[in-house]
Amino acid sequence: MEKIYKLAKGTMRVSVEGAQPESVLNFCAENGIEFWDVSPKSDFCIYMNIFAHDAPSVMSKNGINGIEIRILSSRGGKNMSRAAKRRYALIASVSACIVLLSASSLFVWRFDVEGNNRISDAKIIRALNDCGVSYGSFWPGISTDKVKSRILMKNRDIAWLSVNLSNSCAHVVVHERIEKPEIMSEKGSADIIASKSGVVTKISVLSGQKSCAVGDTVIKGDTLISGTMTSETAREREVYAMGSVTARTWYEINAETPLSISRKCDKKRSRTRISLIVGKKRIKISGDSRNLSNSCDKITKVKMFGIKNVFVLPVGIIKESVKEYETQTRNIDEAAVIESMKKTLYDELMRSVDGGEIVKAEYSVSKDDKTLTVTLRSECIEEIGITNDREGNRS
Amino acid sequence: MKDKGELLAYKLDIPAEALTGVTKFTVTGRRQVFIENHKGIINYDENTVTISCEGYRLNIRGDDLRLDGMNRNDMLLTGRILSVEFE
Repeated sequence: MEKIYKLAKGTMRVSVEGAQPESVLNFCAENGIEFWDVSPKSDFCIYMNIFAHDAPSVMSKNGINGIEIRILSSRGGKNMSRAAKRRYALIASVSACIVLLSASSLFVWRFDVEGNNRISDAKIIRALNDCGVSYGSFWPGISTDKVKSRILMKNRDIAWLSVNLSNSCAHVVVHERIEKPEIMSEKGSADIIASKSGVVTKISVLSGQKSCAVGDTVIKGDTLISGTMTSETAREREVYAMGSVTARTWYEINAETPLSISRKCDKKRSRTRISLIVGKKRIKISGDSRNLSNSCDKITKVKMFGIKNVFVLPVGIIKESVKEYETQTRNIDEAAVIESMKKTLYDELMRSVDGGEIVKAEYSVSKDDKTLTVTLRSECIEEIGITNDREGNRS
Repeated sequence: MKDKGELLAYKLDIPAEALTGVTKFTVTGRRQVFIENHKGIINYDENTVTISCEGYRLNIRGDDLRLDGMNRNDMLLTGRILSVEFE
């Protein structure tokens, strides 16, 4: 920046020769003349840089007390503008670029969306488009508050969002709405039913009437604690059954894998295509647009021109690298695959038991011509009761 | 007169350069000398810089000495400082 500033103002390299060239330095310091890059060339000669507009003041010391001041070179300032006067095309191009850059920074060329997990970027950009914030929109004419309100009204999934429009970029920060948990009314009546089949090992009832006993075998859907309370002395009454039922359960889970798998192997054939992107239009610059074959990897890199966080232009380069591959069939490493499948099955069992205890787990491996099967048989103790209200809602 | 001013500043326990404009120089490591209230350069080359001060001269010797900045009151010299002498 300092170099540009000096170039714009115009600088001169001068030599000062005489019995005491330091007197010119003192003169400059006394009169507020800026100088830099002072280098002594000999006992009676120093070189230094000054601004072009200070040259007349410095040259006024020429010839006084035997001092000789010579201009060695000059850069920038009037020299530059004089040279530029003859280059009409250059001036016109630079001016046009400046105007285009200034004008383009007033239009939206990029969308940055952050903070969304469930809602896709595309959905948010579509919502923005519906509110008038689209590719190439003139952003100073857009009210972000109105855009925000309209998006919030139309999308119930969004709890809050902010839209910042600046430097050709629409930066959207989204806070998604957290779903309310379903609240079950405990004023109604409900039963506790079995979510899995098993043998009951423990029952504790807080509300309702026991429908099974310890040691009973229950199947999925059986009522464990009933919400209908019977009494010999009073009429039946409906309550919201509460309690826990623990049971011994059994699982058998299988996992299969083929004995041979296909893997990609790179071929030497590859191709690179370069295209220019202007707005939404793509212009091919180089490369063959035909596909090599069906089996190829395509990597696309998009680079938009601009300065990060300052402005972005609607112009960019797309580089597409297409690399052909072939598939080779290989046999799997059985021991490693079995270990991996055992771990996967155990994790799956842990998920199914959900806080219960795995009492026993046994694995068996079987193999035919094409597939390898690992089976996990286990015995667990877990909570099997779930609330089932009379309207059919379960929790 | 200056000496009296310096003496007075010393007695009053205030910085002498603030009261009398006496030269103050600050040497930072061996690479930089900052001089305040100087009276101009007398001699300048890569190995010696002689600076005029109030009533004396200051000889700064070193290697590759450079005048990095200078105005009416202050001056900044850089390079490998070997010695600072009063003359």
